[in-house]
Amino acid sequence: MLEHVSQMSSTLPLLALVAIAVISPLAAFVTVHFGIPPLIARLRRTGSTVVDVLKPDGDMVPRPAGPVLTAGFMVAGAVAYAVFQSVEILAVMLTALSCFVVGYVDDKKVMGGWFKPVALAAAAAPILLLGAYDSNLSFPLFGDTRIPILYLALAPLMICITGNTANSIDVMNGLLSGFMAITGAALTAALVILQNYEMAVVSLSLVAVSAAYYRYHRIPCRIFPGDSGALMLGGAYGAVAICGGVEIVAAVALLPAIINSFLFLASVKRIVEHRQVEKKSTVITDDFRIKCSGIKGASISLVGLIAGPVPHTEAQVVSAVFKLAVISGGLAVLTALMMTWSIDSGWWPQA
Amino acid sequence: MANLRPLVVFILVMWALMIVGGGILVLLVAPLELDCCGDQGPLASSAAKAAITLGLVALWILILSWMKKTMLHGMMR
Repeated sequence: MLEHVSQMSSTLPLLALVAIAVISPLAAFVTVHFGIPPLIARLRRTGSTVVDVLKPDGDMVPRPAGPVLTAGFMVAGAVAYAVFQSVEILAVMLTALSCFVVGYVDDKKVMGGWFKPVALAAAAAPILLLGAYDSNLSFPLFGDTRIPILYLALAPLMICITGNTANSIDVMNGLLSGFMAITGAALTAALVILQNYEMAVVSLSLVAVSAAYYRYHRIPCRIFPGDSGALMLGGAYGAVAICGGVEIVAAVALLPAIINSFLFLASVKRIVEHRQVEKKSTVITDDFRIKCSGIKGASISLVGLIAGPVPHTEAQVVSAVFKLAVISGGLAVLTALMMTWSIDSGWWPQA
Repeated sequence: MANLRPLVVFILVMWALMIVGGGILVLLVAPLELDCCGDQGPLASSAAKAAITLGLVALWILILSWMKKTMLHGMMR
């Protein structure tokens, strides 16, 4: 894993590294923080709003926030690229941009169930074309395994999974932004542990985008991310994982969202959009609480399991998912620590 | 408040399966070489490794499906 330390980041003075680790995420935060209010006003003017079904007064909420979230991530990426001149950063930016385009198309025109998985897999092209990946898949404790051909399929699959899992948990106010901020923080910590500082800066920018957006996304939501925002956040996360060589760590941090997708696919037994499912996993009660639908043959989701048969408020369910994200984030950091150990070195940390 | 214990256990088991799966792949599957197929040996070895890996993935999905039925379905009742 330690070979992921880039020449540029290893030659930068510590102070310069710290400065860029502050400036790049700050640029992302400021862009999103100040970019969202004008976008909300513009979307309201053009009537680009949808109903928030969990609110008693049927609030109309603007959508999508994707353009500003993407702009924030691109600004931060440009700052980091200007310093590191790294092809990996360029690949992450282009992949995130491609995922945003896929989502934006879906925001504007409802596409079929297969569109997003296939288009997201294609969005991994910049990583493969720029060669911004390491075909050695690193496992904790046991070291690397070289899969040069298999990795060509694994990278698109990973972008497809991270993009779709992020999109699939965007079901409540503040859930996606808060979840991505927590998992992104865990991924950043893992990259620092593995001394991949370039990707840690990019990952921290993803946290900054999510944290800045959380202010507008939390209950009561003032703007929805849309598919463009959700897919960009998920795609960028996957791209950081691939280009940073922390695929396993990233998967561990994302476990609650992966479980959500697994439960949905295992219950529905086909690739289909959530909106196309007739028997939903949850129902909304008269007092706008959420509970498990209990319908035989209904889809299963993380929210449905957390809510159970007793009605819960939206805030309670979101808080429960955040707790799961903190636990999986902790496991991801532990996994990163385990990657610095190896059986060959007698289970002791490598020098 | 929701009972998260089954989900936490589910996450821990998934994590453990990933660690164990990685160990099996790196220590047992990756070094596998078939000497029985002459010139086609490397190709046959890769095919065997891919088949074993797919088999492991299927086994993992079966384990998770069993856990889903035994642990998580109770949360909905």
